[in-house]
Amino acid sequence: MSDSRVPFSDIYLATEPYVKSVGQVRIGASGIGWKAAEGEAEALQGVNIPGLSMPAGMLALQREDLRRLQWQRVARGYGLRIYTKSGTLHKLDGFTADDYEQLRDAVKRFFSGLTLEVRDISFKGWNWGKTDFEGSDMSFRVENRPMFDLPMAYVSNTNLANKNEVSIEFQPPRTTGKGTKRKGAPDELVEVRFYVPGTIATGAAIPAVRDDDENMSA
Amino acid sequence: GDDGEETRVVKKFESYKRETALPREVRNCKILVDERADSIVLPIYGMAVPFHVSTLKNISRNDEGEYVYLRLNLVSPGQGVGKKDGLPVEDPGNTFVRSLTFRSTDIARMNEIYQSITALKRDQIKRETEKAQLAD
Repeated sequence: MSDSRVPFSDIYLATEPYVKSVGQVRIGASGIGWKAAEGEAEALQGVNIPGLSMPAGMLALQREDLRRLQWQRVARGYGLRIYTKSGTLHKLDGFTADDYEQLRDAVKRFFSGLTLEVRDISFKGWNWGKTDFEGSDMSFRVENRPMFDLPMAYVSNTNLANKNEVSIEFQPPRTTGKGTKRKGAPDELVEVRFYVPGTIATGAAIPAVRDDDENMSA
Repeated sequence: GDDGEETRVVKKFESYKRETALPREVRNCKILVDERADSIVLPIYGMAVPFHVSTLKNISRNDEGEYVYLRLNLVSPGQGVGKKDGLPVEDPGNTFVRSLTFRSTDIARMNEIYQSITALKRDQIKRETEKAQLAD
């Protein structure tokens, strides 16, 4: 019954980064759907997202394929992360904070066995933490909370610059869609470098540890 | 009593206490300088990711073809000699983000961001210096 579906408007299909296309999300017993708004499907031309049918610009995720659902703060408001059993992480961004309860209730009502998990993001502004893999995303965590994720699918090159430094280069996907406006284009991340502590070098590289040792032995 | 453990003073700073404090403009997915939070908010794959100015070492700008590249170098272990006291090390096993490079075709805006970040860093260093002088 279409009446029993819960709709959310002005939602971005963010599965593929740098593609700007808004539409409506509907959640019902059959699964989660997203449909591009009038004129918004153009930007998805040539974009490869599993489950997306063109030219209508419709994403259909079947109930049986849903594995895990997460809610988190994103740049464009709040986002729904949908892990499918077929291995894709879909992202729908642009929800408001107020949508949370409605979304959580819809998940509970329609998808028994699944819950809307809250993914708590770190906004401390620190640049030290731990890296961890979640599917094909490398996630940087501060005090065990994710701070940002790097999808390995867009990595063009990695390099061990020296024994403690790893660089990861990204090839931002070519945004050739007609809907791509250069002026409003997002800033693109092209490289991240990490200092990675070595098992041998750690003590020597970080004076705090050495100081403590000296104090302890004194 | 003397337990032999020197409590290391870790400079505590925090960009935002909660997610609702992020400026509204982060939704543009562009680099944003938030002076009020002493932070630079970066768009990283759909997320708005703040870095406190205290983590910034310097910034460089590079023009290449139609793009302007901004590279933010952050404070991390093993850089230069001395001056390591500002490094907040709590766990020697920590990984550090050492640098982030962004590109854009909007030259004027990237220049503006470069200037704002430079000014933000300069003001922070000035404040730190004044604080240190007062403490002496």
